[in-house]
Order: sequence, then structure tokens, then C-alpha cells
Amino acid sequence: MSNTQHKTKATAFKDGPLMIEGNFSIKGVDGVILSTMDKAYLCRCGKSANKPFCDGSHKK
Amino acid sequence: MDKNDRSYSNEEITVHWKPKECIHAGTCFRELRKVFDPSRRPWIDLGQGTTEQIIDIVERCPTDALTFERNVTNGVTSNETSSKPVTAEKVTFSVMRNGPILAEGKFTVIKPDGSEQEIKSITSFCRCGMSRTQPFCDGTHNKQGFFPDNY
Repeated sequence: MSNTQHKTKATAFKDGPLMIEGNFSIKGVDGVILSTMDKAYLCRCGKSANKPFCDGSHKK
Repeated sequence: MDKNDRSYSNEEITVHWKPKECIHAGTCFRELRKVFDPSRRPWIDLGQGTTEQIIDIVERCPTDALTFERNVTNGVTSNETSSKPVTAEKVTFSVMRNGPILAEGKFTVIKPDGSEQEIKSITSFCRCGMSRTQPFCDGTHNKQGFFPDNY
């Protein structure tokens, strides 16, 4: 399967993070690629100590 | 054309501003505040920068919120206008400093209520938790100051 369009999904959980799945990359503010994994959880609440990733702080 | 659209000109170019297209990436006011100052009215003042600087910023606006065209001179029009091709198989999520996550590419968003939305080329996701158009950015972080750390 070489056609990866629409394969990538971003799921915003209620009161939780943004889960990214599929063919994607995440770049930090300096343009450096932070993650090449096939799944990532991004902070959506502004409270994570591990931004841009979720660390579960939204539950506190 | 939306009633809120505006155009601003200097001697060489005209910059078009379409607020409904803006996804608040913030490249314009962070990198050329003299020209693009959201706290000023009108917020765009082309007299505060060179044409080259302004074109550079307009071309890096991730959407068609900012576009430009060369002014007609001596009856000769230039075909040079900004174009913003967005190509993507791979989707790129870029973290904006004190701002949203800019997502470029074709992908599917699944919202907290389970509904799906296809993104054709670009969108931005809220990172501060305060947007009223969740999970997307609506620019609220600018009013709140967002958080002080680098990310």
C-alpha cells in the first residue's frame, strides 16, 4: 500500500490528549523532528510538563 | 469575498487579508511585527517593512489568509502572485511557539463526540485548552498569553 493519503488520523479525546496515528512527523518549535513513531499523544490542555506530548497532567 | 476581507498596498504590491482563512499560526506577527501588528488598527502597515520582507512573510503564511499580487505598473501586469501548494502524503504536525499545532497534509480528525472531519490540506489544533472551537485553534491563546515555556 503506497497510497497513504487519509491514512493518518488525529483523535481528540474528551478531556484528554490528541492521539496521532499513521504516517506523520512531529516538529518542535525549532523545526527539529521530535517523533518518528507511528503513534503519539499530544497535550491539549497546556498543563503537560512534557510538551508537546501528553504526560497525564490533565487528570490532576 | 467576505465583508471582512481587506487589501493593503504599497507602491509595488497589494497584500490581501482574509480573516476567515487565518488559523493563527502567528508567523506574520512574530517575524515582522512592525508590519503585522495585531494590536494596531489597521493591523497591517506595509510602510513599516520592505516589499521583499513582506513577500517573504506572506509566502510563509500557511493558508490563504495572507496573499499578495504585484501592482499594475505602466499598463503591464505581472503574473507573479503568491501560491501555496500544500503537498502531503506524510502529515506534518509542527508545534508553534506559544501557539497551536499546525497540521499540514490530508488526514482525518476524530472529535471528542465521535464525529469525523476530513482535513484536505491544513489546520491547527489548540494546545492551550482555551479555544472555543476545540479541538481546533481559534486564537484565544493570544488573549490569554498561553504558557511561558518554550513549548
